Amino acid sequence: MPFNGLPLDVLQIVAGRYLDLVVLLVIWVVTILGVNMLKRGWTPKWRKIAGLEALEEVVGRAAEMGKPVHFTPGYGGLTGTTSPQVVAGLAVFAELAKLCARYDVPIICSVGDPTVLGVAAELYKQAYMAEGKIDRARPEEAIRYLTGSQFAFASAVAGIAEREKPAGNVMVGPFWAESMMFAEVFYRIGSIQIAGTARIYQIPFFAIVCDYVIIGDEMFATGAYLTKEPYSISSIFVQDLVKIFALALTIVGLIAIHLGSNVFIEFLKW
Amino acid sequence: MAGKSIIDVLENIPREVIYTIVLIAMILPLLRPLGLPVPVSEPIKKWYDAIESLPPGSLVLISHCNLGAYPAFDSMQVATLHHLFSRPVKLVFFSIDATGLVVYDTLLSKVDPKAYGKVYGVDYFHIGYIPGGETAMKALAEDFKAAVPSDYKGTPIDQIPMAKDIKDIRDFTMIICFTSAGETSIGWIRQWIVVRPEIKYLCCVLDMMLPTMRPYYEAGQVAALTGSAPGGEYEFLIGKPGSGIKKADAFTGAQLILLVFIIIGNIASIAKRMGKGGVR
Amino acid sequence: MSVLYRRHIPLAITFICGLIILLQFFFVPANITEPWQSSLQYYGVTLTNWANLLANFIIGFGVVNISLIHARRIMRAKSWVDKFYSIWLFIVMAAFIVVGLFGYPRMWWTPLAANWDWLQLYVLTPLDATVYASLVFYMASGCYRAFRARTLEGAALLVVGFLSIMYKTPLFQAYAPWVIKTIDWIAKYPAVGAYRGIQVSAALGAILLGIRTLIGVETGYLGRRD
Repeated sequence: MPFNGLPLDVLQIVAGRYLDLVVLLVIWVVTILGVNMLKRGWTPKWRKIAGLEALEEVVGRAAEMGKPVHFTPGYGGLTGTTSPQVVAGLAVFAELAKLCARYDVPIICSVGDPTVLGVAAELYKQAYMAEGKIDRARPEEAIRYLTGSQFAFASAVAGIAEREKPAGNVMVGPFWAESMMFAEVFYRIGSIQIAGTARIYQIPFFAIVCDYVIIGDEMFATGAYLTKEPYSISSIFVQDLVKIFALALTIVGLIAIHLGSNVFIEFLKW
Repeated sequence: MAGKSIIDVLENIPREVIYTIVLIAMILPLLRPLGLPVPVSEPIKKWYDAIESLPPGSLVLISHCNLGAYPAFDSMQVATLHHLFSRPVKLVFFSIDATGLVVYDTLLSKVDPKAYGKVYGVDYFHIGYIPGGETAMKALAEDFKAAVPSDYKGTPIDQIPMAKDIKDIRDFTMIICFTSAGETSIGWIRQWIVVRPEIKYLCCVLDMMLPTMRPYYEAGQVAALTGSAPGGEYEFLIGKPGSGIKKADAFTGAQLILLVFIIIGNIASIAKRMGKGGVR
Repeated sequence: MSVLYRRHIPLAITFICGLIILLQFFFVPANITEPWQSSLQYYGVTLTNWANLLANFIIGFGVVNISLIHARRIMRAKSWVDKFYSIWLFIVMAAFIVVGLFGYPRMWWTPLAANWDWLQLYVLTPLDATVYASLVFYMASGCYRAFRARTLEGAALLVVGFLSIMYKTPLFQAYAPWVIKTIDWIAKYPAVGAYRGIQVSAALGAILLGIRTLIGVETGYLGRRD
């Protein structure tokens, strides 16, 4: 039944996806080559991402005030189209949990999708283990699955904010209409806030209320930025090279179109 | 407030005061409609024209919203269905979310297709909820009957008269999508419009999502793009007044108050700085 | 826990599954009669279905987690208000589970189907709509605070924000058509340009994150390296 009697070895590329495939392969090869070449010697310089630099400030403030820190990767899961953002959010959570373990600050992680629950709990335990404080880890209290329903999730997070009054709020992941609610509620209780999302609908809301905002593709550099491993940093450098290439293509396309040539458009459809 | 000047108070009006005044500004027009003019904006005209220009017998796919977003899309969806049922076209309803089936029942109870002489299975039918988001859209485009073995009531697809001629994406003339999720509104472009640009795509999203859909509209991939708020304009245009027109007054009330607050805040802020030695 | 179990096996699973999904996007078997049921696509869809099934089974863990937290709260909370909310959660959860399991539309037991619709339409929807509608208050106070002409950038935000609110107010649409023209121009050129820039770079970032995840460079989701 599965194969309808069709042989697996006779394959052809889907029409209109030739260029996509070539670009993907080029990026793939460049990433592998770049990462392997760069990891040996030269490490590129990178600009500071204010939102990620401020994580320590958030935890430090919470330690001074004797209050917890709140984190949420939103209610996106690990199986949908927004999963890259959840992965980026979890990388931030891993670092935040480590800082919280170091300074003995309780952390609350509000999870809206059960697929994230186990990963977050594991990252939390590893953070405490890395700081040599596994005996103080309380994953069953720190990692909280609230609900998968959007506005029930929003209400639950708002409730945690009002009841437990965290000194800091870090939200990195995919966010929908609940973003403004979170930002305002935590602003009201005086939390210092770091927000990041690649969902551009929500960036304006974060930008007007939060103290630090991680915008667009900065999100996808968080893992490498926080681990500071040369291997990962090199991969970000390669990412920037690809962006420069995309920019160059855009300019070439712009010039071609203004010269009255459709060659570039046809090439993109290949 | 002791020790605070009037400028300090106006610069930092307590949120409770703002909330209360905004609430009053919204409720009053709902209780006693202001009867303000309802101008028909360009996007609504385009929406109307696109449906009006559908050739008789066209097949239209309607991807309606989920239950959570229903109150926002209520008036636009009801007005669009009134318009569609008044035209000689065939409709296929689709739910991208499990809760959407309740929305479908509610919409049909408000529009009543029988009043337009439309019969279930002949002029319209619902294919139900298909999980998978974009995967479901792709499946519908590639092989309609493989993706839809039965309608939402469980009737086999072969027993639905209007489904007999539907094979794949090529049989559809238009998609109308109502959604509060960017993944859905852009998903239809990725899975349907990119594959078959001839299909007209009418997209109704939350107003705050409009800027992100605008690039697709400018590129010609969306034939008509509107937010969910101007449902009243559409009701006015097709002569079926409903909840949307009432909401328009409430909308005006709340936004006018918001503008007043912004002006007050800025005047207070500038006055304070002038008092401290000039505006910088 | 060995490195093999904690790192190498998950990375191998990620790589193989990711590769299959990528391959079925780009390749189709030649001379196919039923495109939807062709071999590679079948693998792709099977994997996606597995992911969906797993995700749904994991909801069980979510239920356990939420139950533990609230059971503990009922036992420990000093105030009766806190206890009440946790007890209420259990009551509502039980109601939704029972009606959902036995009364999902056109499933097992028809009399409960109407109740499922009722719960959805008259309990969940109004609650969702209420919380969603409360956004207007958050936005009002947020705009009031943020739209201040303190700096040049702040002034630009104020002007565009102010005009955008006017643009969306039916009254101004009728009496101030210049607002419509101005915001249309802003939406059509500067805003679209900026959004495209962010969209393209975010998409590239996501693609590269995908590749990094596939080749095992991005392992933030697996925790620290040993």
